[in-house]
Amino acid sequence: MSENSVSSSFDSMLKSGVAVVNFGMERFSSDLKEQGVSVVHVDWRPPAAKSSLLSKLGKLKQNS
Amino acid sequence: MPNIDLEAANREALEKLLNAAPTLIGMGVAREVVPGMKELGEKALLHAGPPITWERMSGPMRGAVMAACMYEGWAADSDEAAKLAESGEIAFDPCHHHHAVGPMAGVTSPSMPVFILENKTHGNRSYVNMNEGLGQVLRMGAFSPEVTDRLRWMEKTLYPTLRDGIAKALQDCGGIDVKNIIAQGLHMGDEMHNRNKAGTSLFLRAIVPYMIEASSDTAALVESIRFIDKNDHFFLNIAMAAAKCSLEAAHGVEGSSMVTVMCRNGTDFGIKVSGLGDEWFTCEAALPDVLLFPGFTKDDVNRDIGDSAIMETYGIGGFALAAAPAIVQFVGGTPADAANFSLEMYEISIGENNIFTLPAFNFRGTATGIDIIKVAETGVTPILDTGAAHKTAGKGQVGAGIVRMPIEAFLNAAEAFVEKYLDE
Repeated sequence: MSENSVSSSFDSMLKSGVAVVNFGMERFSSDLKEQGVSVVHVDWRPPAAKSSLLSKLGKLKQNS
Repeated sequence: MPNIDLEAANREALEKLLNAAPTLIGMGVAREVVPGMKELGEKALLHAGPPITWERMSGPMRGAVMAACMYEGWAADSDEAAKLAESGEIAFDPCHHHHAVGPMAGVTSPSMPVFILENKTHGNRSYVNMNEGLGQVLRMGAFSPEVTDRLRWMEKTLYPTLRDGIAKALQDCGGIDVKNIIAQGLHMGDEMHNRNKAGTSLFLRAIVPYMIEASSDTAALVESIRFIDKNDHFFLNIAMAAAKCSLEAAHGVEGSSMVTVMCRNGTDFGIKVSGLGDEWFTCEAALPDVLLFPGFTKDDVNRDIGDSAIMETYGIGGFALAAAPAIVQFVGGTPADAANFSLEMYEISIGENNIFTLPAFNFRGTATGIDIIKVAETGVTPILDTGAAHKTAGKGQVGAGIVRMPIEAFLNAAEAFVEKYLDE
Protein backbone atom coordinates (compact mmCIF):
# COMPACT_ATOMS: atom_id res chain seq x y z
CA MET A 1 0.00 0.00 0.00
CA SER A 2 1.44 3.38 -0.96
CA GLU A 3 1.88 6.24 1.47
CA ASN A 4 -0.84 8.19 -0.37
CA SER A 5 -3.43 5.48 -0.12
CA VAL A 6 -2.71 5.03 3.66
CA SER A 7 -3.17 8.73 4.18
CA SER A 8 -6.39 8.75 2.15
CA SER A 9 -7.91 5.82 4.09
CA PHE A 10 -6.92 7.57 7.31
CA ASP A 11 -8.63 10.76 6.12
CA SER A 12 -11.78 8.92 5.14
CA MET A 13 -11.86 7.13 8.50
CA LEU A 14 -11.65 10.45 10.33
CA LYS A 15 -14.33 11.93 8.09
CA SER A 16 -16.72 9.04 8.78
CA GLY A 17 -16.43 9.69 12.50
CA VAL A 18 -14.17 8.25 15.17
CA ALA A 19 -15.40 5.77 17.75
CA VAL A 20 -13.23 5.52 20.84
CA VAL A 21 -12.55 2.30 22.70
CA ASN A 22 -11.15 3.05 26.14
CA PHE A 23 -9.29 0.45 28.21
CA GLY A 24 -8.69 0.73 31.91
CA MET A 25 -9.20 4.15 33.52
CA GLU A 26 -12.94 4.76 33.36
CA ARG A 27 -12.46 8.48 33.93
CA PHE A 28 -11.04 8.89 30.41
CA SER A 29 -14.22 7.46 28.89
CA SER A 30 -16.55 9.50 31.09
CA ASP A 31 -14.68 12.71 30.18
CA LEU A 32 -15.15 11.92 26.47
CA LYS A 33 -18.79 11.00 27.01
CA GLU A 34 -19.38 14.36 28.69
CA GLN A 35 -18.04 16.02 25.52
CA GLY A 36 -20.46 14.04 23.37
CA VAL A 37 -17.84 11.66 21.94
CA SER A 38 -18.99 8.15 21.19
CA VAL A 39 -16.96 5.87 23.48
CA VAL A 40 -16.99 2.23 24.53
CA HIS A 41 -15.36 1.51 27.87
CA VAL A 42 -13.63 -1.81 28.46
CA ASP A 43 -13.21 -2.63 32.15
CA TRP A 44 -9.67 -3.94 32.05
CA ARG A 45 -6.87 -3.70 34.54
CA PRO A 46 -3.36 -5.11 34.49
CA PRO A 47 -2.99 -8.28 36.56
CA ALA A 48 -2.26 -7.47 40.20
CA ALA A 49 -0.42 -10.72 40.78
CA LYS A 50 3.28 -11.11 39.90
CA SER A 51 3.89 -13.03 36.70
CA SER A 52 5.74 -15.75 38.68
CA LEU A 53 2.61 -16.37 40.78
CA LEU A 54 0.36 -16.32 37.70
CA SER A 55 2.59 -18.84 35.98
CA LYS A 56 2.56 -21.16 39.03
CA LEU A 57 -1.23 -20.90 39.25
CA GLY A 58 -1.41 -21.74 35.55
CA LYS A 59 0.78 -24.82 36.11
CA LEU A 60 -1.31 -25.89 39.09
CA LYS A 61 -4.47 -25.71 37.00
CA GLN A 62 -2.81 -27.57 34.13
CA ASN A 63 -1.56 -30.35 36.40
CA SER A 64 -4.82 -30.82 38.24
CA MET B 1 2.29 -32.66 48.30
CA PRO B 2 1.03 -34.30 45.10
CA ASN B 3 -0.95 -32.33 42.60
CA ILE B 4 -4.63 -32.04 43.33
CA ASP B 5 -7.84 -32.09 41.35
CA LEU B 6 -8.57 -28.42 41.83
CA GLU B 7 -11.90 -28.49 40.05
CA ALA B 8 -13.18 -31.49 42.02
CA ALA B 9 -11.99 -30.00 45.32
CA ASN B 10 -13.72 -26.70 44.62
CA ARG B 11 -16.85 -28.49 43.49
CA GLU B 12 -16.88 -30.43 46.76
CA ALA B 13 -16.40 -27.29 48.86
CA LEU B 14 -19.12 -25.45 46.95
CA GLU B 15 -21.54 -28.37 47.26
CA LYS B 16 -20.99 -28.47 51.02
CA LEU B 17 -21.71 -24.76 51.17
CA LEU B 18 -24.81 -25.01 49.00
CA ASN B 19 -26.19 -28.07 50.83
CA ALA B 20 -25.87 -26.52 54.29
CA ALA B 21 -29.17 -26.00 56.10
CA PRO B 22 -28.66 -23.25 58.69
CA THR B 23 -31.42 -23.30 61.28
CA LEU B 24 -32.01 -21.15 64.36
CA ILE B 25 -32.33 -23.64 67.21
CA GLY B 26 -31.83 -21.67 70.41
CA MET B 27 -30.23 -18.93 72.46
CA GLY B 28 -27.86 -18.89 75.40
CA VAL B 29 -25.43 -16.70 77.29
CA ALA B 30 -22.08 -16.37 75.49
CA ARG B 31 -19.86 -17.58 78.37
CA GLU B 32 -21.99 -20.72 78.71
CA VAL B 33 -22.57 -21.69 75.09
CA VAL B 34 -19.84 -20.25 72.85
CA PRO B 35 -17.19 -22.97 72.54
CA GLY B 36 -13.85 -22.03 74.11
CA MET B 37 -14.99 -18.68 75.50
CA LYS B 38 -14.97 -19.74 79.15
CA GLU B 39 -11.45 -21.14 78.68
CA LEU B 40 -10.18 -17.67 77.73
CA GLY B 41 -10.75 -16.55 81.33
CA GLU B 42 -13.27 -14.44 83.21
CA LYS B 43 -12.47 -11.25 81.32
CA ALA B 44 -12.65 -12.37 77.70
CA LEU B 45 -13.92 -10.43 74.70
CA LEU B 46 -14.45 -11.78 71.22
CA HIS B 47 -14.07 -9.32 68.35
CA ALA B 48 -14.57 -9.07 64.59
CA GLY B 49 -11.86 -9.79 62.04
CA PRO B 50 -8.49 -11.48 62.28
CA PRO B 51 -6.52 -11.46 65.59
CA ILE B 52 -5.53 -8.05 66.95
CA THR B 53 -4.05 -6.56 70.12
CA TRP B 54 -5.44 -3.56 72.03
CA GLU B 55 -2.42 -1.51 70.87
CA ARG B 56 -3.33 -2.00 67.18
CA MET B 57 -7.10 -1.69 67.56
CA SER B 58 -8.87 1.11 65.70
CA GLY B 59 -11.08 3.70 67.43
CA PRO B 60 -14.42 1.93 66.92
CA MET B 61 -12.99 -1.40 68.07
CA ARG B 62 -11.57 0.26 71.19
CA GLY B 63 -14.88 2.04 71.79
CA ALA B 64 -16.76 -1.26 71.59
CA VAL B 65 -14.29 -2.86 74.02
CA MET B 66 -14.84 0.03 76.44
CA ALA B 67 -18.64 -0.33 76.13
CA ALA B 68 -18.37 -4.06 76.79
CA CYS B 69 -16.20 -3.45 79.90
CA MET B 70 -18.83 -1.08 81.29
CA TYR B 71 -21.70 -3.42 80.36
CA GLU B 72 -19.97 -6.30 82.16
CA GLY B 73 -19.33 -4.11 85.21
CA TRP B 74 -15.53 -4.45 84.83
CA ALA B 75 -15.16 -0.66 84.58
CA ALA B 76 -17.20 2.32 85.82
CA ASP B 77 -16.38 4.63 82.91
CA SER B 78 -14.54 4.76 79.59
CA ASP B 79 -11.21 5.86 81.13
CA GLU B 80 -11.24 2.97 83.56
CA ALA B 81 -12.21 0.63 80.72
CA ALA B 82 -9.33 1.84 78.54
CA LYS B 83 -6.87 1.35 81.43
CA LEU B 84 -8.18 -2.17 81.99
CA ALA B 85 -7.82 -3.02 78.30
CA GLU B 86 -4.30 -1.58 78.28
CA SER B 87 -3.30 -3.60 81.35
CA GLY B 88 -3.47 -6.84 79.39
CA GLU B 89 -6.01 -8.30 81.81
CA ILE B 90 -8.57 -8.90 79.05
CA ALA B 91 -8.20 -11.84 76.68
CA PHE B 92 -9.03 -10.76 73.12
CA ASP B 93 -9.84 -13.39 70.51
CA PRO B 94 -11.57 -13.31 67.11
CA CYS B 95 -15.21 -14.45 67.00
CA HIS B 96 -14.12 -16.68 64.12
CA HIS B 97 -11.94 -18.75 66.48
CA HIS B 98 -15.13 -19.72 68.32
CA HIS B 99 -17.54 -20.57 65.47
CA ALA B 100 -18.98 -17.09 65.97
CA VAL B 101 -19.36 -13.84 64.04
CA GLY B 102 -20.12 -10.23 64.97
CA PRO B 103 -21.07 -7.24 62.79
CA MET B 104 -18.85 -4.10 62.79
CA ALA B 105 -16.61 -4.24 65.91
CA GLY B 106 -18.23 -7.59 66.65
CA VAL B 107 -17.35 -7.35 70.32
CA THR B 108 -19.09 -10.15 72.19
CA SER B 109 -18.75 -10.21 75.96
CA PRO B 110 -19.39 -13.14 78.34
CA SER B 111 -22.83 -11.98 79.58
CA MET B 112 -24.25 -11.23 76.14
CA PRO B 113 -27.05 -13.47 74.93
CA VAL B 114 -26.28 -15.16 71.62
CA PHE B 115 -28.29 -16.96 68.97
CA ILE B 116 -27.36 -20.59 68.34
CA LEU B 117 -27.65 -21.88 64.77
CA GLU B 118 -27.20 -25.42 63.60
CA ASN B 119 -26.40 -26.56 60.11
CA LYS B 120 -28.86 -29.45 59.92
CA THR B 121 -27.01 -31.07 57.02
CA HIS B 122 -23.56 -31.27 58.58
CA GLY B 123 -24.38 -30.89 62.30
CA ASN B 124 -22.03 -27.97 63.09
CA ARG B 125 -23.14 -24.87 65.02
CA SER B 126 -22.48 -21.13 64.94
CA TYR B 127 -23.11 -18.22 67.32
CA VAL B 128 -23.88 -14.51 67.10
CA ASN B 129 -25.07 -11.79 69.47
CA MET B 130 -28.26 -9.74 68.95
CA ASN B 131 -28.39 -6.65 66.74
CA GLU B 132 -28.78 -3.43 68.72
CA GLY B 133 -30.11 -1.16 65.95
CA LEU B 134 -28.46 1.89 64.37
CA GLY B 135 -26.73 5.02 65.70
CA GLN B 136 -25.26 4.96 69.21
CA VAL B 137 -24.53 1.24 69.47
CA LEU B 138 -21.62 -0.84 70.77
CA ARG B 139 -20.85 -2.45 67.44
CA MET B 140 -20.14 1.00 65.94
CA GLY B 141 -17.81 1.84 68.83
CA ALA B 142 -20.18 3.99 70.90
CA PHE B 143 -20.07 3.67 74.70
CA SER B 144 -22.56 6.20 76.12
CA PRO B 145 -24.98 5.14 78.92
CA GLU B 146 -27.64 4.78 76.19
CA VAL B 147 -25.54 1.93 74.74
CA THR B 148 -25.03 -0.01 77.97
CA ASP B 149 -28.63 0.59 79.11
CA ARG B 150 -29.91 -0.89 75.85
CA LEU B 151 -27.59 -3.89 76.15
CA ARG B 152 -28.90 -4.56 79.67
CA TRP B 153 -32.51 -4.30 78.47
CA MET B 154 -31.70 -6.73 75.67
CA GLU B 155 -30.26 -9.16 78.22
CA LYS B 156 -33.07 -8.87 80.77
CA THR B 157 -36.16 -8.44 78.57
CA LEU B 158 -35.56 -9.24 74.90
CA TYR B 159 -33.41 -12.33 75.49
CA PRO B 160 -35.87 -14.33 77.66
CA THR B 161 -38.82 -13.69 75.34
CA LEU B 162 -36.84 -14.60 72.23
CA ARG B 163 -35.12 -17.57 73.89
CA ASP B 164 -38.44 -19.05 75.00
CA GLY B 165 -40.04 -18.40 71.60
CA ILE B 166 -37.16 -20.08 69.76
CA ALA B 167 -37.29 -23.04 72.17
CA LYS B 168 -41.00 -23.41 71.38
CA ALA B 169 -40.28 -23.22 67.65
CA LEU B 170 -37.61 -25.90 68.03
CA GLN B 171 -40.06 -28.14 69.81
CA ASP B 172 -42.89 -27.59 67.31
CA CYS B 173 -41.11 -27.41 63.95
CA GLY B 174 -37.40 -28.10 64.47
CA GLY B 175 -36.37 -24.43 64.62
CA ILE B 176 -36.49 -21.46 62.24
CA ASP B 177 -35.26 -22.16 58.70
CA VAL B 178 -32.92 -19.18 58.20
CA LYS B 179 -31.84 -20.10 54.68
CA ASN B 180 -35.45 -19.98 53.55
CA ILE B 181 -35.88 -16.48 55.01
CA ILE B 182 -32.73 -15.27 53.24
CA ALA B 183 -33.91 -16.73 49.91
CA GLN B 184 -37.30 -15.03 50.24
CA GLY B 185 -35.71 -11.77 51.40
CA LEU B 186 -33.64 -11.57 48.21
CA HIS B 187 -36.90 -11.59 46.26
CA MET B 188 -38.29 -8.82 48.45
CA GLY B 189 -35.57 -6.21 47.98
CA ASP B 190 -32.92 -7.30 50.51
CA GLU B 191 -29.33 -8.13 49.71
CA MET B 192 -28.90 -9.12 53.38
CA HIS B 193 -25.93 -6.96 54.30
CA ASN B 194 -27.12 -3.37 54.29
CA ARG B 195 -30.79 -4.13 53.75
CA ASN B 196 -32.47 -6.65 56.02
CA LYS B 197 -35.93 -5.11 56.07
CA ALA B 198 -37.64 -8.07 54.41
CA GLY B 199 -35.58 -10.61 56.34
CA THR B 200 -36.43 -8.96 59.65
CA SER B 201 -40.14 -8.84 58.74
CA LEU B 202 -40.12 -12.49 57.70
CA PHE B 203 -38.26 -13.47 60.85
CA LEU B 204 -40.74 -11.59 63.01
CA ARG B 205 -43.61 -13.30 61.20
CA ALA B 206 -42.01 -16.69 61.85
CA ILE B 207 -41.11 -16.19 65.51
CA VAL B 208 -43.92 -14.06 66.97
CA PRO B 209 -46.53 -16.85 67.28
CA TYR B 210 -44.01 -18.93 69.25
CA MET B 211 -43.01 -15.94 71.41
CA ILE B 212 -46.66 -15.36 72.26
CA GLU B 213 -47.21 -19.02 73.05
CA ALA B 214 -44.12 -19.20 75.24
CA SER B 215 -44.46 -15.95 77.20
CA SER B 216 -46.76 -14.92 80.03
CA ASP B 217 -45.21 -11.45 80.35
CA THR B 218 -47.27 -9.35 77.94
CA ALA B 219 -45.36 -6.12 78.59
CA ALA B 220 -42.01 -7.77 77.83
CA LEU B 221 -43.47 -9.40 74.75
CA VAL B 222 -44.80 -6.11 73.37
CA GLU B 223 -41.53 -4.28 74.06
CA SER B 224 -39.54 -7.08 72.41
CA ILE B 225 -41.69 -7.25 69.28
CA ARG B 226 -41.60 -3.44 68.94
CA PHE B 227 -37.80 -3.43 69.29
CA ILE B 228 -37.31 -6.04 66.56
CA ASP B 229 -39.87 -4.33 64.32
CA LYS B 230 -38.12 -0.95 64.63
CA ASN B 231 -34.70 -2.39 63.82
CA ASP B 232 -34.46 -3.24 60.12
CA HIS B 233 -31.06 -4.86 60.73
CA PHE B 234 -32.22 -7.26 63.42
CA PHE B 235 -32.07 -10.23 61.06
CA LEU B 236 -28.52 -9.39 59.85
CA ASN B 237 -26.83 -11.09 62.81
CA ILE B 238 -28.89 -14.26 62.39
CA ALA B 239 -28.17 -14.35 58.66
CA MET B 240 -24.45 -13.87 59.40
CA ALA B 241 -24.46 -16.88 61.71
CA ALA B 242 -26.28 -18.84 58.99
CA ALA B 243 -23.46 -17.96 56.60
CA LYS B 244 -20.86 -18.90 59.22
CA CYS B 245 -22.15 -22.42 59.91
CA SER B 246 -22.63 -23.03 56.17
CA LEU B 247 -19.10 -21.89 55.31
CA GLU B 248 -17.52 -23.84 58.17
CA ALA B 249 -18.96 -27.00 56.64
CA ALA B 250 -17.08 -26.15 53.44
CA HIS B 251 -13.79 -25.47 55.21
CA GLY B 252 -10.99 -28.05 55.23
CA VAL B 253 -11.52 -29.52 51.76
CA GLU B 254 -8.03 -30.55 50.68
CA GLY B 255 -7.07 -28.82 47.43
CA SER B 256 -9.89 -26.26 47.48
CA SER B 257 -9.07 -22.61 46.78
CA MET B 258 -12.47 -21.39 47.99
CA VAL B 259 -12.58 -18.60 50.57
CA THR B 260 -14.44 -19.63 53.74
CA VAL B 261 -13.80 -16.55 55.89
CA MET B 262 -13.52 -12.90 54.92
CA CYS B 263 -13.49 -10.31 57.74
CA ARG B 264 -12.07 -7.01 58.99
CA ASN B 265 -11.19 -5.67 62.42
CA GLY B 266 -10.93 -1.97 61.51
CA THR B 267 -7.14 -2.29 61.09
CA ASP B 268 -6.58 -5.50 59.11
CA PHE B 269 -8.51 -7.47 56.53
CA GLY B 270 -8.22 -11.26 56.79
CA ILE B 271 -9.30 -14.35 54.90
CA LYS B 272 -9.17 -18.11 55.32
CA VAL B 273 -9.20 -20.64 52.50
CA SER B 274 -10.85 -24.08 52.55
CA GLY B 275 -7.71 -26.00 51.56
CA LEU B 276 -5.24 -23.98 53.64
CA GLY B 277 -6.20 -24.95 57.18
CA ASP B 278 -6.41 -22.42 59.99
CA GLU B 279 -3.93 -19.91 58.60
CA TRP B 280 -5.03 -16.27 58.35
CA PHE B 281 -3.98 -14.30 55.27
CA THR B 282 -4.09 -10.62 56.09
CA CYS B 283 -3.33 -7.12 54.86
CA GLU B 284 -4.37 -3.57 55.74
CA ALA B 285 -8.16 -3.11 55.71
CA ALA B 286 -9.65 -0.89 53.00
CA LEU B 287 -10.97 2.62 53.50
CA PRO B 288 -14.65 2.51 52.51
CA ASP B 289 -15.87 5.11 50.03
CA VAL B 290 -19.17 5.84 51.72
CA LEU B 291 -22.16 8.10 51.56
CA LEU B 292 -21.81 10.11 54.76
CA PHE B 293 -24.48 11.04 57.25
CA PRO B 294 -24.89 14.84 57.61
CA GLY B 295 -22.13 16.48 59.64
CA PHE B 296 -19.36 13.97 58.86
CA THR B 297 -16.45 14.17 56.42
CA LYS B 298 -14.31 11.56 54.67
CA ASP B 299 -11.61 12.15 57.28
CA ASP B 300 -13.95 10.74 59.94
CA VAL B 301 -14.25 7.32 58.32
CA ASN B 302 -12.47 4.37 59.95
CA ARG B 303 -10.95 1.54 57.96
CA ASP B 304 -13.32 -1.25 57.05
CA ILE B 305 -14.57 -3.25 60.01
CA GLY B 306 -16.73 -6.28 60.80
CA ASP B 307 -17.36 -9.96 60.30
CA SER B 308 -20.34 -9.08 58.12
CA ALA B 309 -18.14 -9.76 55.06
CA ILE B 310 -19.25 -13.33 55.76
CA MET B 311 -22.39 -12.38 53.77
CA GLU B 312 -20.38 -11.87 50.57
CA THR B 313 -18.34 -15.00 51.34
CA TYR B 314 -21.74 -16.77 51.42
CA GLY B 315 -22.77 -15.32 48.02
CA ILE B 316 -25.11 -12.53 49.14
CA GLY B 317 -24.57 -8.89 50.29
CA GLY B 318 -22.60 -7.15 47.53
CA PHE B 319 -22.84 -10.32 45.44
CA ALA B 320 -26.63 -9.87 45.48
CA LEU B 321 -26.73 -6.08 45.25
CA ALA B 322 -28.85 -6.40 42.11
CA ALA B 323 -31.63 -7.68 44.38
CA ALA B 324 -31.80 -4.46 46.37
CA PRO B 325 -32.50 -1.40 44.17
CA ALA B 326 -34.02 0.31 47.22
CA ILE B 327 -30.62 0.76 48.87
CA VAL B 328 -28.40 1.64 45.96
CA GLN B 329 -28.81 5.36 46.60
CA PHE B 330 -28.19 4.86 50.30
CA VAL B 331 -24.87 3.21 49.48
CA GLY B 332 -24.10 5.75 46.75
CA GLY B 333 -24.96 4.29 43.36
CA THR B 334 -27.58 3.51 40.73
CA PRO B 335 -29.54 0.30 39.99
CA ALA B 336 -27.25 -0.21 36.97
CA ASP B 337 -24.17 0.00 39.22
CA ALA B 338 -25.75 -2.55 41.56
CA ALA B 339 -26.35 -4.97 38.69
CA ASN B 340 -22.81 -4.47 37.37
CA PHE B 341 -21.26 -5.15 40.77
CA SER B 342 -23.22 -8.38 41.15
CA LEU B 343 -22.39 -9.45 37.58
CA GLU B 344 -18.68 -8.83 38.10
CA MET B 345 -18.65 -11.20 41.07
CA TYR B 346 -19.35 -14.18 38.77
CA GLU B 347 -15.81 -13.68 37.43
CA ILE B 348 -14.25 -14.60 40.76
CA SER B 349 -16.70 -17.22 41.98
CA ILE B 350 -16.62 -20.99 41.69
CA GLY B 351 -20.30 -21.36 40.89
CA GLU B 352 -23.83 -20.07 41.23
CA ASN B 353 -26.22 -20.48 44.09
CA ASN B 354 -29.05 -22.98 43.78
CA ILE B 355 -31.26 -21.31 46.41
CA PHE B 356 -30.32 -17.60 46.45
CA THR B 357 -31.50 -16.15 43.15
CA LEU B 358 -31.74 -12.70 41.62
CA PRO B 359 -35.05 -11.68 40.01
CA ALA B 360 -33.24 -8.91 38.07
CA PHE B 361 -31.10 -11.56 36.36
CA ASN B 362 -34.03 -13.75 35.41
CA PHE B 363 -33.60 -15.69 38.67
CA ARG B 364 -29.97 -16.56 38.04
CA GLY B 365 -28.25 -17.89 41.18
CA THR B 366 -25.97 -15.43 42.96
CA ALA B 367 -22.22 -15.74 42.39
CA THR B 368 -21.07 -18.05 45.18
CA GLY B 369 -17.76 -19.40 46.47
CA ILE B 370 -14.94 -16.87 46.04
CA ASP B 371 -11.89 -18.46 44.42
CA ILE B 372 -8.49 -16.99 45.41
CA ILE B 373 -7.05 -18.17 42.10
CA LYS B 374 -9.67 -16.27 40.09
CA VAL B 375 -9.10 -13.17 42.23
CA ALA B 376 -5.33 -13.39 41.64
CA GLU B 377 -5.74 -13.98 37.90
CA THR B 378 -8.35 -11.31 37.20
CA GLY B 379 -7.40 -8.68 39.75
CA VAL B 380 -11.12 -8.40 40.55
CA THR B 381 -11.76 -8.37 44.29
CA PRO B 382 -14.99 -8.96 46.20
CA ILE B 383 -17.28 -5.99 46.56
CA LEU B 384 -19.14 -5.34 49.81
CA ASP B 385 -21.87 -2.92 50.71
CA THR B 386 -21.21 -2.02 54.28
CA GLY B 387 -21.67 0.38 57.16
CA ALA B 388 -18.85 2.70 58.20
CA ALA B 389 -17.85 3.72 61.70
CA HIS B 390 -16.25 6.94 62.95
CA LYS B 391 -12.53 6.49 63.47
CA THR B 392 -12.74 8.02 66.94
CA ALA B 393 -13.90 5.72 69.73
CA GLY B 394 -17.36 6.56 71.01
CA LYS B 395 -18.70 8.39 67.94
CA GLY B 396 -20.69 5.61 66.27
CA GLN B 397 -21.76 5.23 62.61
CA VAL B 398 -20.89 7.84 59.97
CA GLY B 399 -22.39 6.33 56.84
CA ALA B 400 -22.71 3.37 54.51
CA GLY B 401 -21.39 2.49 51.10
CA ILE B 402 -19.50 0.22 48.79
CA VAL B 403 -16.04 -1.10 49.50
CA ARG B 404 -13.73 -3.44 47.62
CA MET B 405 -11.67 -5.92 49.57
CA PRO B 406 -7.92 -5.35 49.15
CA ILE B 407 -6.18 -7.87 46.89
CA GLU B 408 -3.02 -8.43 48.97
CA ALA B 409 -4.63 -10.99 51.32
CA PHE B 410 -5.82 -13.02 48.30
CA LEU B 411 -2.38 -12.87 46.70
CA ASN B 412 -0.72 -14.00 49.97
CA ALA B 413 -3.17 -16.89 50.12
CA ALA B 414 -2.53 -17.77 46.46
CA GLU B 415 1.25 -17.86 47.16
CA ALA B 416 0.63 -20.23 50.09
CA PHE B 417 -1.70 -22.31 47.94
CA VAL B 418 0.89 -22.92 45.20
CA GLU B 419 3.54 -23.59 47.81
CA LYS B 420 1.35 -26.28 49.37
CA TYR B 421 -0.14 -27.85 46.27
CA LEU B 422 2.14 -27.28 43.26
CA ASP B 423 4.38 -30.27 42.68
CA GLU B 424 7.14 -28.72 40.54
